[in-house]
Amino acid sequence: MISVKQLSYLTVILIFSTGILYLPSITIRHAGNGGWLSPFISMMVGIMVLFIILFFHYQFTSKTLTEYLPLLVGKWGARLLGALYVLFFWSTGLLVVREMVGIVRITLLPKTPIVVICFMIALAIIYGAYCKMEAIARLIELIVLLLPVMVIALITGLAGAIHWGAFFPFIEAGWRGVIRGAFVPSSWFGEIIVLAYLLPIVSSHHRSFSILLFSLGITAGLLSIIVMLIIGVFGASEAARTPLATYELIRYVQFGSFLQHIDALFLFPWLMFMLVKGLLFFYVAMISFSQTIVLPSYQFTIIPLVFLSTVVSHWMFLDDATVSKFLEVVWPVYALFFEAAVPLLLLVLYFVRHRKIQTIRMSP
Amino acid sequence: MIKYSVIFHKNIFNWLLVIVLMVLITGCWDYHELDKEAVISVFGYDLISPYHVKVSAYLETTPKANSSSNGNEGGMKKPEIIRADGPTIYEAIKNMSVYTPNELTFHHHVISILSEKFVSSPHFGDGLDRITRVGATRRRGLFAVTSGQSSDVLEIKLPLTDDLSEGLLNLMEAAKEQQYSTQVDLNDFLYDLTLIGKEPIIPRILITQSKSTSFQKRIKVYGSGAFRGTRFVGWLSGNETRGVLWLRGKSGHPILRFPWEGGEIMVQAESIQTKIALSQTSRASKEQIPFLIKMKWQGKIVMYTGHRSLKVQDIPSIEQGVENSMRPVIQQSIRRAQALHTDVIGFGNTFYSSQPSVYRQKYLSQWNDRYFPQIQYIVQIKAKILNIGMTSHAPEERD
Repeated sequence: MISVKQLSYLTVILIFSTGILYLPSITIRHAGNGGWLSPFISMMVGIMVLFIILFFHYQFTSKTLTEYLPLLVGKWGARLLGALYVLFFWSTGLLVVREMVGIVRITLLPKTPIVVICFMIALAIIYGAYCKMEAIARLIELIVLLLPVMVIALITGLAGAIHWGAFFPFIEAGWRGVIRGAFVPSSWFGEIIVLAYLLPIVSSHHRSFSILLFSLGITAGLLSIIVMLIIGVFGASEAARTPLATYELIRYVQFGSFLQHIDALFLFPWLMFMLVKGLLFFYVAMISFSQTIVLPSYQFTIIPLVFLSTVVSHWMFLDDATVSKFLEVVWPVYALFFEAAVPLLLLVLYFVRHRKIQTIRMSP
Repeated sequence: MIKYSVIFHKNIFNWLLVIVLMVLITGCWDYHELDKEAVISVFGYDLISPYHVKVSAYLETTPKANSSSNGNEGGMKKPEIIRADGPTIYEAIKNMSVYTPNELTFHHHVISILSEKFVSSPHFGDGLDRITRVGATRRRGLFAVTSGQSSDVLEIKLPLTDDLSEGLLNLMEAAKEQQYSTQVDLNDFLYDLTLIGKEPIIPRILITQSKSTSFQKRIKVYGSGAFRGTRFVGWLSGNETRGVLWLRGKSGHPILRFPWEGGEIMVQAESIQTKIALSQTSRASKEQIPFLIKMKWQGKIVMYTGHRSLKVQDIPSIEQGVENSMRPVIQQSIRRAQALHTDVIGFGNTFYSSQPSVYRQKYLSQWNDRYFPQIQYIVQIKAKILNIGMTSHAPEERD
């Protein structure tokens, strides 16, 4: 069992870890210098998904999304949707691994063959998945403290380099731009759908909605700070043409003339967060897979699914530009379908069926 | 027996894991041997012909590398300069690697020195793309522009230091403090370049030769080069650079000197705050955009050559003197920028921040050529002396 507190830490890491990779550049491209407001609008999608999954959790206590699907869409519908969700979670995990490989190659190991980096990450994920959710949650508790340290270090290390003029005119692209800039990040906030598989193993649900809501707010705030720093240091135009703007920001951090070139210190926690995120998506993919085809344990699926993902990620995304383009064009629609559209339809379906049952019961 | 096989299999798995990890340990590909690297600390860009670029690198190798090549164990760091040319910056840098057995690295690059001819050519813009695209150079890397050949700067030995990059950095710091020049890194340059209504400047490096130094070449960081986009358009003197920096709201501690009561008084700024806003005067036409410049100077008296004892009642007149000595500097720098047709101060950006759609539609395309040279402005300076120093007047000889 895991606690709500651990679940809230997990929520922050889940969205923040990859959110700061390509998101700032994509957001700023649409929202200009008002990009720092976009995460708060994207958060609305996260709140909606959180409300739906918590609602279903209270209706079907101790059941995961795959387990209560038959009660909503029937046996065959549940199998089809379950299989699609397996594909979604697995492909998201795959994407996270590919993003991680990309950042490792650009920053730390440019000469190391991509297959080796993939293999190393896959080994770490396999080990983590064998350790089960409780161990992952404890790991999150250990590393989550590095997140505020990372953000505070960024703020202090860049304080003198911020151009306040970059924020004027206020919201130069208008509110329409801010909303457009919020579209892609909303798919990151929608990733909270994985909680639909973790809520049944939460020990106590006391104030779970408010705690998770607070963690969503914290995540939006942290993302907003990062986007603000990027705009302030580089300016909106320069940030928009720099796909890995957060990494460039980290490289710019300097404390006086005595502490420079400290990007590796930031990369360590960042890569840990990404690893945990990838691990979480694979874990959920394995759980939903084993529940869809009724396997006694998800552990049989770990090695094949993870290794298959390393191969497919290499095959699907040959270069980092493809990842960036995929995240901007394909990913939001694809992800939001599973994260928001399907849960919303399920909720509508639930109310329709519920009303039908009530009408039948009430009729003489 | 069963127990033994379980332990055996478990150990086999662990050993296999260790072996696989050992083989795949990624350091095998990305290791760095410090003595095998040629660290570029200063890099020079010159133009040989419109289609040919020359690059010069001031390399620093580690003591170990020197000692192994010279047989001088534990010897001093010995900088080396290498040069190469090519049709583009990328190819010139590639050709440079032919001349050095060590791997060229930009990770600790400090300053790029650009020649006037180079920054007047399109190669500079192309070079910016190369620098930011490859990503080896950090955005903290500084820029300086020189009227001669940048490679000449690399040859000069600075007094009291063997490290040219460190020496140049210190010279720039000092010039920045006095505001006769500034410090611009790659990020600052790109920020000004991409900001609407503001053009970049880069500090100038002057090579001087005088009798007092037995005609030995010396380096001085003084003034700056004004740009329009990525194209160099002209020089700003030390005073003009000062004015531009004040108007840009850059902090520093410049000293001002002006006559006062039979002597000269010198004041040092502790802070200068500037606010430029669009002025709403009725006389303004669409062609002549009016601006209001409000400056707040705070500082202290550092020297007085007269014999009068300074009193509290004198402070307002000294403050007036500060205001009067600042005004012509500001006017001169604006006039120079207008003559060069480049808004290095950022009046256009102030206008854009206040009325973005109007500026974009009507003024953006012709701001530097048509509207900026005609702007009207009012300068309001408020000086405040915070400290008159430790003494009231200069020491006097006994009669």
